[in-house]
Amino acid sequence: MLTNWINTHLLTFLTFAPILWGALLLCLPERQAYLAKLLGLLGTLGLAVVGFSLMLRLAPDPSGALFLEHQPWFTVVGLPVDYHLRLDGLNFWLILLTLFLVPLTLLGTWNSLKQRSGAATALFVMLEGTVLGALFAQDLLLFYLFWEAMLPPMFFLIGIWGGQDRKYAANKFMLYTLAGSLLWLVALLYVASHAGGFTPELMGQAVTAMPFGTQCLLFVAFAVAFAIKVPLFPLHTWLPDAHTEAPTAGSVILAGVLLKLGGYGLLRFAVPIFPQAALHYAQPLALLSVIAIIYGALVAMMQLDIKKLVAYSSVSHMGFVVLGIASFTVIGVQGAVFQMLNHGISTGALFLLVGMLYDRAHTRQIADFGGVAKRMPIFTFFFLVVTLSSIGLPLTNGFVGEFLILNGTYVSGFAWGRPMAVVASLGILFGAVYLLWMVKRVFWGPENAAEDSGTAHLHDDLNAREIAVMVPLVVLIFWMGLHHRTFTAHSEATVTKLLADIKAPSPRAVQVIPADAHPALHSDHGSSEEAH
Amino acid sequence: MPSMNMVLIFSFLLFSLGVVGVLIRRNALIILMCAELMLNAANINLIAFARHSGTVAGQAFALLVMGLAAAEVAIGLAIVVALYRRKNTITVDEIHLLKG
Amino acid sequence: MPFAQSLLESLGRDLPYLYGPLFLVFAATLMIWPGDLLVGRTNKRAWSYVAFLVLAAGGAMALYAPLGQGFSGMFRVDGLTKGFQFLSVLAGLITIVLSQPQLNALREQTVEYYALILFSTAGMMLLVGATDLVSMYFSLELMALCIYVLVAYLRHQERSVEAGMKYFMLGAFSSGILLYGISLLFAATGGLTTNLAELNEKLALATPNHTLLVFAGVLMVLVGFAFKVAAVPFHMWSPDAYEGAPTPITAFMSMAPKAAALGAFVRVFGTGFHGVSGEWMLPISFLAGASMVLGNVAALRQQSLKRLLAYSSIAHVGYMLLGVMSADAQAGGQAIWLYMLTYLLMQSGAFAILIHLQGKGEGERIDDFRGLARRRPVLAFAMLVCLLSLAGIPPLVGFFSKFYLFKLAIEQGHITLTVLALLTSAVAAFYYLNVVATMYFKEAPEGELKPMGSGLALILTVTCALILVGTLFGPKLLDWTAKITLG
Repeated sequence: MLTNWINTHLLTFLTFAPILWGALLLCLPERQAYLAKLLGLLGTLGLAVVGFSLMLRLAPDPSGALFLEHQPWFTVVGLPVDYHLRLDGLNFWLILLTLFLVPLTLLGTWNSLKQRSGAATALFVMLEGTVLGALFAQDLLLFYLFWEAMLPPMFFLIGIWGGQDRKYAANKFMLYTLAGSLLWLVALLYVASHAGGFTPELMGQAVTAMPFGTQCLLFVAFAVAFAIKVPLFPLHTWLPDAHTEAPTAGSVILAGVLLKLGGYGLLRFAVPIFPQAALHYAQPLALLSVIAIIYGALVAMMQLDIKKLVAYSSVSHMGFVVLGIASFTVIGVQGAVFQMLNHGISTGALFLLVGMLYDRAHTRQIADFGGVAKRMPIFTFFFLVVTLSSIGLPLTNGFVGEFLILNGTYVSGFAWGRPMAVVASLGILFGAVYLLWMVKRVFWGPENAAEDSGTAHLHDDLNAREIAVMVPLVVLIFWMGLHHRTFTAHSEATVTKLLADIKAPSPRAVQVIPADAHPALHSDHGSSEEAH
Repeated sequence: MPSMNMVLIFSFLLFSLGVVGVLIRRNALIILMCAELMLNAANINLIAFARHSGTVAGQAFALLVMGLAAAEVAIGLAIVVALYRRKNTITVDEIHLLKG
Repeated sequence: MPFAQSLLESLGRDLPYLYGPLFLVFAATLMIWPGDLLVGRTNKRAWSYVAFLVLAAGGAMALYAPLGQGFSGMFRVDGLTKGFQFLSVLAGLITIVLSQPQLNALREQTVEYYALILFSTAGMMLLVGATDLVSMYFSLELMALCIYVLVAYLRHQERSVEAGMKYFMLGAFSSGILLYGISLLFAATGGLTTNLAELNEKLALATPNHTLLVFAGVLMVLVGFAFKVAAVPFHMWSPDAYEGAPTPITAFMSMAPKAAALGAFVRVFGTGFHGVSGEWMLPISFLAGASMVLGNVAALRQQSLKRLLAYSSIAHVGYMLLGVMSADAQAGGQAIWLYMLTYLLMQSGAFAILIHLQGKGEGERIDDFRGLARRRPVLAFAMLVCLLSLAGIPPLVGFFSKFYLFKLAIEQGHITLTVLALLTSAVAAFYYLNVVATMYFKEAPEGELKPMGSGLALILTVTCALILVGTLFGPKLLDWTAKITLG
């Protein structure tokens, strides 16, 4: 009976199972931390297995959706709100990434937390549920609820298990995001009251009837909320603090999953609802993302703390995502979607590795290390691979994403396209500089001779558990680099349709969902039958 | 109707006297009396306009207000007495509207 | 005697509308005399049970009262009346339970305390049903006069008496302004009526001749109400009164009279002054905006949780004024009702914890909550639920009530004010989260905490459970509210 229910309510299951499971784990007493960790790991692993086994067998229905749950939910002051969850090309891999990354992170940071690790695990599991919910949600109010529900678990993860300045970082993270999304709520309510509903289709139609100035204002309100999450320069200042203070697992999930919601929201909601305003603001968006790329890279170069360096490299890399979206070409947007996956894998892996180093040495200062390669050869191997992928070496995933984005920007047809592509490619160069320089100072050279240095505390190399965590990530890095079609094929139809709608000259009802993306292969009901 | 305007002006003067008294005086008893002035200014309006329209509702209202004023004074005085027992003063320094 | 007969007849017809509040008044009177004579000095605590039962019975009577209008259009029982009466009674019941620890500790159990709560609740129940400025005014005074005394109830504590004094002086002042405003409106109709529905027609007609009179009258009534609900800039009594009053009475004041006064507020302005909404829309939007900004900004600086909750209640009133501004008594009333209901739950939950910790001299300062999560995880979690919900963080129930209000405001075109409301709720989130952070992120001081009394624990459990259940059914709540308050 349960399998039946899961087959027809897969998305609901994937969203609410972790939330409930996490709530259950939260009730376990503190001395049962080990049990909580184990149950959390098994739960998320089970969820990943269910998700992978069912999702990979789905085929798109005529509307392009792989799976759909849609029913009226409630009516507020005359506005219908739908319970509408949808799996399609745009969120498919982001969801798999989330499902994949969470158990890996839990395993990778198994011993990192000394206190109340059970509660932390429980919060992670809940966080996973809210992220999945936000990725699935199609109705904007539903999306908003999940979007905001992501905040409290992260707030506590940073605030309770964070570093020295955790209270400050947690508050900053929370308030930054909250302020952005509250402004967004005004715009949301405004559009909804004109559209008579919270679905993107209705909103898109209502927006075409509005004066252009209003559209622009509303788009900015939407874009700011998402840009804070990305984070786009100059709204990025919460990120380094949050990353530095958060525990390793928090950083991984933050970089790997949470930031993606910003780019995803832009692509899924802001751009389709306000196509004209989005085109109008393409240049400022691109400019800001180029600034983010260069600025993030330059600041990263100056960092003394490895984790902070990775955090700023996040700013730089996520700048590429927005640049890709702002190019409004199929290649660029595809690159942006791909880059989101990349960044999740590479930066997530980097944070995991930094965490492993920190667990041993209890310091993250670059100056405290030197000659680590001699002491930890396996660790060095993994670190190097991940670093190279983060730089964007050909054959790794980073290269594909950045190449697609730069290509898209170059051919975008905007007057600013070519110069910006050129400047942005400098960002890759800077990326190579700060990452390799950091690698050189930490891993090569003579061992740090100081008695209390970080290197002196490194006694053992990675153990089996840690290797088991890193291997799938490295495999994925090369798979994505060598055969990117596995990942880009899903989103191609969706993205093509999206851009065709945006660039259509006459103002008309904007269809968010491609209607002819795939010839009818299966209805969603049929696909769930198949999944038995 | 000039007479009605006169009534309004008169009641307004009375009311203003009450308001200013509450705002600037510091003696709790005087403040209490000024608050009563405000009520009575309203009573004048009520009675005059009730008579003007030839109905009794306004006059009944005024009678009730008098009763209420008595109750208010009783409670006010009780609190003033309680304050006097604690502090041996009925000057209200911190109860100054203009200071907020 | 035909006169007596017709009087009896009309009483028989109209009284059932008011059985609830009348029952409270009679029962409270009987409790004071001769009830109190029959009870020994040491058994005063028993009165809390009696008062609780009486209040519950009065509430039930009001809930099952027939719908309609009586006393020559002075009172009206409809869905909104019942809804707000329910809130007042609920707040009264909660207050009686919350009062126990402090009254027992200070040996201040008396029958008058409970009688005053009953009287003032009766005043609130009348107030929300009043459809005439006369009945509205007297109900308001019945409510207010009792609360003045309750604030000064701890007559051996200077703080309490001073707070009562201040509250009384400004209350009397504001009631003078309110009454004068009513008399001006009465004058503007030519001395004919104070009934809200008729007033609405008459004022619209009178406007060309008596613009100034109507404007001054409406403005003064507005000021009177603003004092009662503590909207900025007429809030100056509230932080001091809240701080000085016995903590359970602070809880009471921040919930019940506000609920009732806002219910009356929306009825008076939505039905009585509906036609002249041009006169009061701007002043009231100023009140709302100023309350949101000042309430929240002032709450930021507070070190004492009691004062923080007091200032934040000013801000919450600012949000609820958005509902009054909808100029539609029905829709605005519904939105305010839902907001008030959820606010009442969250606020009483927070106060239950505050009162519990205050028992040992703790709990006043936010700092006393350091590391509560380590010392009392369940308590801290309950507080967390209440605070996050107060901050309006989705998907907790506090978000849905805010959402409803903001939605209404945007539909009415009050965009700027809604933006302000949302920005200030980010400020609110900051100080609420600061308390949360203190509970969860800081190390606990040494020392044991005493276990919670059963009464407080009950309140806390019920409110938290309701908040969480409401969270699950948050969206449904909105539909549900509409049904209930339609009557």
